[in-house]
Amino acid sequence: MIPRDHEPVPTALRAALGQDFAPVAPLSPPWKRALRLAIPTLILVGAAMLLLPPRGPISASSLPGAGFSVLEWLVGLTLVWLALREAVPGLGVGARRALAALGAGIGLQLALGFLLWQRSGASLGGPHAAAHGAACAAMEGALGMPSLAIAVWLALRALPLRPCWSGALAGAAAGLLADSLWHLVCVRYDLEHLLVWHFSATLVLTLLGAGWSSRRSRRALAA
Amino acid sequence: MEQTTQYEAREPPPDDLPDLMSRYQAGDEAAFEELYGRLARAVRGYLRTLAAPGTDVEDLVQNTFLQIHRSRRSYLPGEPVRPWLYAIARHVGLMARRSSGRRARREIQAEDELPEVAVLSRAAGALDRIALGRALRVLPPAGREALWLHHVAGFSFREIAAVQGVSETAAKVRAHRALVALRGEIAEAGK
Repeated sequence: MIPRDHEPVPTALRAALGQDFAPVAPLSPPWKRALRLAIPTLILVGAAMLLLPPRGPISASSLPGAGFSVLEWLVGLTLVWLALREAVPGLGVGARRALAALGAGIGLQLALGFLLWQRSGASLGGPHAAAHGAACAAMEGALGMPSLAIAVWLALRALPLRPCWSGALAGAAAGLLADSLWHLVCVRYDLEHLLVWHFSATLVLTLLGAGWSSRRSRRALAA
Repeated sequence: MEQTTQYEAREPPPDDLPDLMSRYQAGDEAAFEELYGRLARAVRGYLRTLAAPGTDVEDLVQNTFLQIHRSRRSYLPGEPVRPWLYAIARHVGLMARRSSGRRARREIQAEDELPEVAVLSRAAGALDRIALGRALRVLPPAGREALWLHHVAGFSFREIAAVQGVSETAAKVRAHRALVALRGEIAEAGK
């Protein structure tokens, strides 16, 4: 029974809704949905640590290798969680916090790149550095694409009201998750390679995430 | 301390809304009707604080509930309903304002649509409600929105922060500045 002082649903709205009152399964909390990305990426990073042969000055199972990877993976996963939170109306982290989180994630990747270079004692890139760097960035970008697709898809299943931020967080997360694996595989430790080429993959994924999410969200809202 | 008191919500939020939303998600049409019945009036008032002049607010209310219906799965069980619902309403309102492309001075609200803010009722003897409506209209949109949500809809600042996507402190500052500006406008109009 609806109390008398309550407004009835207008006829036009009732007609627009039609008989579409089918039960819907509510979304799980963002942290639970973020686990869908955690498990496959963790398996990949773990396998790389255990299976990759020692190469170069830093082995995959050493502290700078494994430790930095785990740290990047954890921060990447936190960004996925924030992207999924941002996609739920009323739970959003807001533009300022999203920007701070993006800055922290990107800053971490740059800082770890710098530390890796310091630990490795590598010199400048040498000949063909740009070609190797571009190939490395392309590989890392390709590695991040599945994570980006899954994170954006998970975000769009909710209702991102600031899809640009949600997508950018998802993209940066995909970049960090990819880098956490790729820096175990990559054998180049010169500063230019780590800061320019590895970082550029994350940057491209971030921009791609923002654009992709905005476009898909606009379409969904207009439908 | 005085400021803290003036920021207390006017009415406690209804706590059975999460159950209502869960029933709605489970396919209970009556739950939607009850949700609409209980919240449509407040949502309409809120959308008026966001809408550009000449906008059909009733249309916005219906669009909001249509959007709510389409994205009802995005409500997380157990979470407060109003921040979720008002965030969607805000989005609908802001989209309409942007698409209207008009940033002109807002229309004066009709008499029966004015928010019943404590400070407003005190001033009602000195000013008529239309003048009060004008005073509200010159406030910055974000501040007016925060003021309305807190003093009319009874939102806590945490809930306002969730709706506006800002920190709780920023929401408090917005509402406080709007209140100060409103007092200034009322004093100016009373001269």
